[in-house]
Amino acid sequence: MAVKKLERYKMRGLINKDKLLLIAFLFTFISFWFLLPDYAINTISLSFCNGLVILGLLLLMRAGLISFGHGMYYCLGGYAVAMTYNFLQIKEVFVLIAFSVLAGFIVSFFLGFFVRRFRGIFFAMLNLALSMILFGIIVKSISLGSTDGFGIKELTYFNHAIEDEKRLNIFSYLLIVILTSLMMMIVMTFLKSPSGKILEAIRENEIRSSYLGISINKQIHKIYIFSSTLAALGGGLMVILIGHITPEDTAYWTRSGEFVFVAILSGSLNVFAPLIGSLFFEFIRSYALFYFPNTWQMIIGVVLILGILYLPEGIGSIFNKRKK
Amino acid sequence: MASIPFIILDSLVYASWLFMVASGLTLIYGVMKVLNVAHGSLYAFGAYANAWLIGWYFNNYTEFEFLSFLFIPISALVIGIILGFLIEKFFLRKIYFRDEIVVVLVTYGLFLIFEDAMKLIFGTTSYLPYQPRMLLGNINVLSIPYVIYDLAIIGIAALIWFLFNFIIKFTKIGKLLLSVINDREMSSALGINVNKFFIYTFTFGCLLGCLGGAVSAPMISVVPGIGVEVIVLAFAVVVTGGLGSVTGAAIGALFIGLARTITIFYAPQLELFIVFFVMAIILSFKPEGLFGSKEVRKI
Amino acid sequence: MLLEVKNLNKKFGSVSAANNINFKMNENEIIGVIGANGAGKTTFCNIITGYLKPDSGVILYEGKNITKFNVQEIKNIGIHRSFQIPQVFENLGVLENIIITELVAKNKQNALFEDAYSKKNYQNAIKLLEKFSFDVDKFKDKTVKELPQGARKVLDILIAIIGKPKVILLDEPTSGISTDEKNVIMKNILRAIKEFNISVLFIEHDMEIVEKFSERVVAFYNGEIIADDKPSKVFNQNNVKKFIIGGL
Ligand SMILES: Nc1ncnc2c1ncn2[C@@H]1O[C@H](COP(=O)(O)OP(=O)(O)O)[C@@H](O)[C@H]1O
Ligand SMILES: [Mg+2]
Repeated sequence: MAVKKLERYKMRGLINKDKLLLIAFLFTFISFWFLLPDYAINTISLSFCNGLVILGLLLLMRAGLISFGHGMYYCLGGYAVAMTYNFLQIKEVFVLIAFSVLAGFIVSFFLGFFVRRFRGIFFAMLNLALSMILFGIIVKSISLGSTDGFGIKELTYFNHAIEDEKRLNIFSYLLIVILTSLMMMIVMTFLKSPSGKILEAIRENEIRSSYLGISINKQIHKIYIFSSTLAALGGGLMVILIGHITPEDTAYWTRSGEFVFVAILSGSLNVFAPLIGSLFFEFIRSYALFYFPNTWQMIIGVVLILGILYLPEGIGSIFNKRKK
Repeated sequence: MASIPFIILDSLVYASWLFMVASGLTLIYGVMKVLNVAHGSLYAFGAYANAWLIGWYFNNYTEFEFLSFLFIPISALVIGIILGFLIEKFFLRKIYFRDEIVVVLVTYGLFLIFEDAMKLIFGTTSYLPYQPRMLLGNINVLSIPYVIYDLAIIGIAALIWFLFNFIIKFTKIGKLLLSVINDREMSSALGINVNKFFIYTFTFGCLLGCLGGAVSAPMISVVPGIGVEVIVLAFAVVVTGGLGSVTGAAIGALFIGLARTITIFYAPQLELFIVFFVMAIILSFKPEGLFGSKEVRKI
Repeated sequence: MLLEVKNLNKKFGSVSAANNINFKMNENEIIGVIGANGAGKTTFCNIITGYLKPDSGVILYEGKNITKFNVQEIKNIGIHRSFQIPQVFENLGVLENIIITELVAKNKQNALFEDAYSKKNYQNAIKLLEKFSFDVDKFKDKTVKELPQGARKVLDILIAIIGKPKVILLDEPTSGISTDEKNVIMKNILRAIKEFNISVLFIEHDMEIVEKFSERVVAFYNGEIIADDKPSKVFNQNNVKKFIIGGL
C-alpha cells in the first residue's frame, strides 16, 4: 500500500503534467491566431490581460486573502504605459511594459507596509478604499485626462513600428499570450515551492504559522507585491492592446468587482482556472453587455451568491476555515 | 478665508452625517460580526425612495409642504425593515458559521444586485429633492448664514448616539444584547434567542442605513453610484473608531469630519484621500481602531 | 539555569491570570504543571512564548532577557510549544503538515526553486511520523480535520518537536484522550523528547500521569504558584489537596 502511494508522490515530483499542459496551452492559443476571426482573437487577448489580474488574486487567495480593489493595480499598470508613452515619448513596447511592472511593484511595495497588517474583511475593504482614492485622484487630475483617460498611438516592437490602426496584430497577440503563459509558469512554480506552501499554512492557521517561525506579515507583503505586479502587467498589456485607458474602466469598484467575481468562481487550486475563467467571462460579457446592459452587475451578483451558497466544494471552500 | 467657527460647524455637520451612515454598519458588525457591504445600497435605496416621494408630492400638491418631512421616516422604515428582514432571513442566516470573508462576499453580491435594481426602478437620471431643505431656510451662526436642515443633522446624529447608549445601559434588551455580543454560544446556552437578536439588530442597522440616505437626499443629487462612496466612507469611519463600537464611530466621524473640512477649504482635490489618510494614521498606531478591543484569540 | 521567570504579572480586566510568578527551569528537567481550569497555566505558556505581553516581570533564557521577544523570536531561540486546542493546518494532509513544519525548521520558507512536496520530503515525513509511533498507515492520506482528537493532539505535539527545541511546553497533551491511550502517548512523546535532550514542561490534569512522568510539579491557583517541588511532596501539601486535587 505504502509503496503505491509513494509511486504517486513520485509522479507528482518528476513527471510534471502541469508543465506539459502549459506548453500545450501556449501552442493552442498561438495556433488560434491562424484559425479564429479577429473579434475572437481580440476577446482572447483582452481576457488574458484581465486574467493576469485574476492570477494575482489567486495568489492572494492562497493566503486566504481577497482584495476588493485590485483594479487599482490594473489601472496603475495601464496609466504607467499611457503616461510613459505620452510624457516620455517612449514607443518601444517592451520598455512600456517594464514601466507598468515597475509601477505596480513600487506602489505595492510601499502600500504593502500598510495593508500587510490586516486580514480578511479589513484587507479586502482597505484595498477597495485605496482604489477609490486612486480613482478620485485621476478623475480630478486634468493632466491625467480626468474621466476621459489617455490614449496611445503608434508602437514599436523591437524598433519595428506598427501603425496605430493595427493594435491587434501578430506581435501584440504573441506578446500577450507568451507573457501570460510565462506568468502562469512562474506562478505555478512558485505555488509548488516552499515559499508557496507557506501561504497555505498562513491561510490555515496563523497562530501555528507564527509559532513555526514564519514572519506572517512579511510573507503577506511579498505576496501582495507579487500579486499587484501581475495586475499591473495585465493593465499595461491591456493598454497596448486597446490603445486607451480610462479610470472608470480600471480603478472603479465595478471593475474590481468583476475581478473578484471571476477569481472566486475560478478558485485557487489551479493556475489555468483564472485564465480560462477570464476567457469565459469576457466572451459572456461581450454578449451580456449587448443584451442586458442594465442588469449586468445584477447577474454577476446573483451568480456570485448562488455559487457561494450552493457550490459546496467550489468557491466557498477556499475560505472554509470555520468561524470560531 | 475660512473662519475657525465655520470650519468647526462644517466639520460637525459632516461628522454627524458620517456617523449617521456609519452607525448601522458598526452596530451590525458589533453584534453579528457581519460586515454588510450592502449597507451602501440601503443608503442609496433610502435616498432614492425619499427623493421619489418628495418629487411625487411636489409635482402633485402645493399645500402642506411640511408634510414632505414625513417621507424621511416613511422611506427609512419601509425600505429598511423590508430589505433588512429579507436579507437576514434568506441570505445571512445560512452563512453565519462561515468565514467572515464568505459573508462579506455574499453582502458584496447583494450590493451588486441592488445597484442594478435601483437603476431599473428609479432610472439613471438624477433626482434633486431639494424642497425640504429649502423649507427650513437659513439661520445666522456668528453672522454667517447656515442652512437649518444641515444643522438638524447634528441633532439626528446626537439622537442616534443617545438612543444607542440608553438602550445598552438602561434597558433589559441592552443587557441581553451585550451578553450576545460577548459570548454568542454562552448566551444561546442560557436560553437567549440569538437568532431573534440577529434579525432585529440587522433590520435596525439597515433601517439606520436607509435613514441616512433618506435624510441626505435633500442635500445631494441622488444618482447611481452614491452607495459605493458611502460604504467606503462608512467603512473608513467605523474602522477608525473600532469596528463594532458605536461611540468609536462617533469619535472617528469627528476626526475624519474635521480633517476633511479643513482639506476642502485648502486642497479640495484631496477630499477622499484625506479621509483614508486619517484612517491610515490612526490604524498605524492602533490597528484595532480608537475604541476597538484587540482580540487575542484564546489558545 | 535554562529558563527563569521573575515577578511575572498579567491581568485580564479584574482577573489576575498571573500573580507575581517566580519560576526556574533547569536543563533536562521534566516538569508537570497542575491547577484547576482558569488557574493561569495556559496564560503562563502564552507569556513565555511571547503570545501575550506580561504587565510586569522578566523572563530570562540562558541568562538573556527575552521578555520582549515575539512568538517567532521565541521559537527561533529554541522554545516550542503545543496547544490545549491543537493548532494545526486543518485542511491540509497530515504529511503536508509535517513537511511544511520541516521546511520552515530548515529555514526554507523563502525557497523558490524546489518542489515542497517532493518524494524525498514525503519519505522524510513518513519516517518522522513512524519514529513517534504515529499510526502512519492509517492516517497519512487524511487531512487533519478527518483525524480523531487523539491523533490531532499527537500531530500538534509532533509539530512542536520538529526543529529540535531546547525547551518544549506541552499544554494539556492528553486532554480529550481516553485513559488507556494517555499512558502510551505520554510514553512515546517523552521517549522521543528525551532522545533530543529537550527540557519539558507539561500541563496535565491527570494526577497519575503527572506522578508517573514528572520529576517536579508546579501547582497553579488563581494565577499564583502555590507549590513547586517533588510530586510526592506537592500532592501532600494541604492547599494543593484542597484547591486542586480535591477540586477536580
Ligand atoms: N485572552 C484572554 N482574554 C481575557 N481573559 C483571559 C484570556 N486568556 C485567559 N484569560 C483568563 O485568565 C484566566 C486564566 O486562564 P488560563 O490561563 O487559560 O487558565 P488555565 O489554562 O489554567 O485553565 C481565566 O480566568 C481566563 O478566563
Ligand atoms: Mg489552559
